[in-house]
Amino acid sequence: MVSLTATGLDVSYGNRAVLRGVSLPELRGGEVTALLGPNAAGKSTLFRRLVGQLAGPGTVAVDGQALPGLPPQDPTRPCYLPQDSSANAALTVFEAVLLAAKQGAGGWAVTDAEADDVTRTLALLEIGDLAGRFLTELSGGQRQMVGLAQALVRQPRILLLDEPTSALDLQRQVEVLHLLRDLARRDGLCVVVAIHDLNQALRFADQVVVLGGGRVVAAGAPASVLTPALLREVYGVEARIERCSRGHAFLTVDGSVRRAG
Amino acid sequence: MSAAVGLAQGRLAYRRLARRRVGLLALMAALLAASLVADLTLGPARYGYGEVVGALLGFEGPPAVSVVVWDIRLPVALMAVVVGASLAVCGAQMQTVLNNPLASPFTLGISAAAGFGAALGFVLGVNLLPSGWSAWTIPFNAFLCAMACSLLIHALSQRRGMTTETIVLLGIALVFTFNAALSALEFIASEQALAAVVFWTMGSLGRTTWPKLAITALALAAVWPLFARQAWALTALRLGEHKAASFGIGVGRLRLHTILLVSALASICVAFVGTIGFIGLVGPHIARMLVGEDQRFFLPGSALAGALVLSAASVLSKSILPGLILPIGIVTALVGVPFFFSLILSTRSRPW
Repeated sequence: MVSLTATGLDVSYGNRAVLRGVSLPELRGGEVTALLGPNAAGKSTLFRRLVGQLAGPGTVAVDGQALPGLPPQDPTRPCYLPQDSSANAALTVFEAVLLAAKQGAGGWAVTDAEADDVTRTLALLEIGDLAGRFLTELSGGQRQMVGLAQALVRQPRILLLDEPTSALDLQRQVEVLHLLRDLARRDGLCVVVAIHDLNQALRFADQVVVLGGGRVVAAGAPASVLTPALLREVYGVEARIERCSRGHAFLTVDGSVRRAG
Repeated sequence: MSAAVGLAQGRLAYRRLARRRVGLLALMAALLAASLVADLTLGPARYGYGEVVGALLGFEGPPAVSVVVWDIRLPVALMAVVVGASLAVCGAQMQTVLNNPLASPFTLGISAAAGFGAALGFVLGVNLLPSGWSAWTIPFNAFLCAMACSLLIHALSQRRGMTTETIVLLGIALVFTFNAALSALEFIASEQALAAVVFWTMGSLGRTTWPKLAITALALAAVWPLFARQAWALTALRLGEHKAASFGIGVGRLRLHTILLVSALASICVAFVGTIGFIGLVGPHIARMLVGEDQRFFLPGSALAGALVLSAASVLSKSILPGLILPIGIVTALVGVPFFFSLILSTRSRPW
């Protein structure tokens, strides 16, 4: 199983420190990790540091091998799906996904195998009917699904997704999170999802990592990490974790509290 | 079973799309060939299509036709094709790497700088070449200034925190700067020099010679494979900087290399033909509407669209007023803009 480790990551933009000594628990293949934290906690910056788009002190290693040593197109390199999916290129959905599959691999021409990979990925996400549509004709949620297809078609072993469900309707959210968990369980993918919906994190994540102010505030099993005290400290809300009639943990918010500082 | 059918359908649909695009490219190439021949028939003496094609293919015919076609008209007509293609390719790549549909060799001040360089020669007599090369003085000045402008942008864009928007803004600032400097030169110019500057800045293919054509064509042929090799990475830039970087593309490097190549090519074009606006903007937009933005189709599509528009403008510039050749820069804008408007308004549903 693939594993991703990160220790002592510092990143700053100019004078502003965004990550301060972030060390993550080992992220293993077969598991879904939810990366939580309020806005501007450093979640996207952490992702960009993990894939090597940002430089700084600290080490990131895949299967014990430090990341800078891996060539850019190595399949064990983490595959990162950024949040922004607003591109208005004159490309069809099929072309946009094909484009992701063609990066650094294959030649100029498109082979049947590459076309089949695209078709399979679109089918997996149940957006095969969008294949011939132009990106500009898509809704926000459809664009997000195309973004997911662009990540999955590259057949990564480590998948870092920055709020992949933020624009999706409820059904799609559940389907996508189910799919990600299936991919982890069945194919041994290591999946890390930045997400704002704490109930989805409680439901789908094997472990959670909570960022706050550029530091790891807590990490571990969702039900043990997400406590009223932590939610008050990190998110500034009064909240309770309760059990539904089927025994699943869920979170209800009673109100907001003034944040310290 | 049904999965296999789905795969075959996906493949088929994509192959059909690709074939349609190749077909459109072939159609544009055919139109370009027709426009080129029409361009050759026009001039002070009008020839028939048969005569021109005969002279081109080396068949027996009146020797005067052969001389006029080969020595006078062919370099000019081909220059329209090569410059049109080059400017459109430059515009296409600038729009791609700056992720901005308004970018063109003009947006970055390259044409304005070339105009200023040419005026330096006309007005102040600046001549950096040895005597005996006087025919090349003006293009050389124009090229140097255009390249200096590009290198300035290149240097500034390597500073930290530069976004594509700031690069475009810098370019626009440079346009105003060079235009003001050009006006200052025009203000102090003699009447004769002023006329020369004004005519130069209108843009004209009439100064073309075979060597100038060869240099421009070689420049286009030199950058083409470099762009073609990066086709997939360049296309990905249009998905946005972050998405492209997430694909493992070195966005900064690719952008800088592309801007440098494009600057050199655009500088050579404007140095020889002056300010021909609009092609660099409209060529890529026409290509985008017809063949999309996969660079494997978009790059040749832009080149063909730019070549076709400029060649057609050359035909029109000779046919609007009999016996007079209008400066081509005027024709491209006056005829091209309404055409472009109609294209944009008719494809409103795809607002890229």
